[in-house]
Amino acid sequence: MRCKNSFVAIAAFSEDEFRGLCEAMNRLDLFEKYASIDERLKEENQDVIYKTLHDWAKEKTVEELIELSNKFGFASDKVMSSKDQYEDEHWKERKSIWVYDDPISGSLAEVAPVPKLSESPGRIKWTARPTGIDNEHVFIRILGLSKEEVEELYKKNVIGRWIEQIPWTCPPPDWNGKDGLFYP
Amino acid sequence: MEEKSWHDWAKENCDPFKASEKPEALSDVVVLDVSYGSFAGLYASSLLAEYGAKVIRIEPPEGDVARKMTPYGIKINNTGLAYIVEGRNKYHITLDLTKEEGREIFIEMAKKADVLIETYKPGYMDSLGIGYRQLRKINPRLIYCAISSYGHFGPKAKSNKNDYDVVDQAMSGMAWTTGIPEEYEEFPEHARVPTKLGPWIGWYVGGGFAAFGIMVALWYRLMSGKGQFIDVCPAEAQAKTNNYYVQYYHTKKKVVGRVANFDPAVFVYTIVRAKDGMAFMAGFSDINFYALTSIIDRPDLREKYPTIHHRLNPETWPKCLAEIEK
Repeated sequence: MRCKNSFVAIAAFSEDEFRGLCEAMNRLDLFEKYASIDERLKEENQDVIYKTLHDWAKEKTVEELIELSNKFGFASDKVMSSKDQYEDEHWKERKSIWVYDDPISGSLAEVAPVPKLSESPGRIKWTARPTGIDNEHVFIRILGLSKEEVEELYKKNVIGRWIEQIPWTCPPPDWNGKDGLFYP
Repeated sequence: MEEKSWHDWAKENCDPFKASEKPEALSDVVVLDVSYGSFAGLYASSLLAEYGAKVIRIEPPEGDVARKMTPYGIKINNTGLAYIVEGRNKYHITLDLTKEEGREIFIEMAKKADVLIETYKPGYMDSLGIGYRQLRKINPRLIYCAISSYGHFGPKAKSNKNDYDVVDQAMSGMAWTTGIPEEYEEFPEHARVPTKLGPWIGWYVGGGFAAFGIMVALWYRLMSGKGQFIDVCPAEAQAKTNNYYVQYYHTKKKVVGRVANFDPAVFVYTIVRAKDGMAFMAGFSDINFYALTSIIDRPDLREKYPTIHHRLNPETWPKCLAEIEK
């Protein structure tokens, strides 16, 4: 819902949470009227509760609403943009946004591996690579073809590597031709 | 040449009508699902149960509050539709974990289990003496999957808040980019807001990633013999499905805003109003846009928006769509 300076989500399903929310709004009369979950789920009652909630929230800031949710025990947090996620202290400590240096493409960022595992955690090691850059690593070292066989495949155009005329197949122009290679 | 067509082979071999004749992949996996008020936890164990895991749902004697979460109070046998759906293939037992006797029985079960799923506030199970730190001593092979609003560490992990789908969706970044843009002034103000997806997608994506993490941990246990702790934050899981949005911010220091039914990477690629309903239409590349404008006999549109750069301008989208809908 819209608040003074942005948008928040609010949830208060259980009795305790709904009571907390009504207390925060200074509207305990709503809690008394709609004390049971079944009452709150009726469409006509939802309309009344939501209208009250919207009118109340739009006069508060995100920070005020989150503080009230902490104090009164209902769930609430900001509608986050990618900028919010990138800068959020909690997400930073969890390394939820994985900022890393790719040996070929440089500084990159994306959402970290989910979930977090204590013994065998996920990690992000590199990004998309120029087309065909790992041909030798995979065909020779992993699959076990000979250098000559791989050479032959290049000649027959069964495999290939990046072509300058097709820019999105290529490494960046400032790449030194060595960083990030897995072969030899 | 194979005798059968590929499609016949696929039908014969993947036909769900013959499922009961075949083995179940997870039939030797025992899962304790002690989740409470969380469809992320319930969905994770549902996925495992569909493939044969023996899932034992442990509810408090008064039942899981999730049974009450249902559209407009509609119920089957007094249980909400959502719980009816996510109760599939599970044994249902009760145990009061706040009582010592309940915890003693729970520990006996945890000794023999492969997987435990819980959704309490971080540290709650630990405070009862039945968290991962205690259970791994009696069962080092246990895979303990905890799902919570903020995850089990970080400044907000100690917050006293339950995990709810709408808050997960808000934090995921997806609500931020879904809905009618602020600048589309032909729509009323209350309609131009970040918009959550209809289903409980934060919970469901969180649960899906939990099941994925459990499978990764089961595979690692095959190699190492070790169990482990899994920390699932549904908002992070849903954020993981937000295309390139974080990379976009990292590169451009700009955020992708709300894009209504459009896509900032492709246009035409949207839902259009047809005579008798709504239909999806795409015509992005120059050649496809040429074809689309030829079919609808509007060559003027390709003169006005000749390249993909013209077509990827957000101001173009509603105007061009309105012309196509004519």
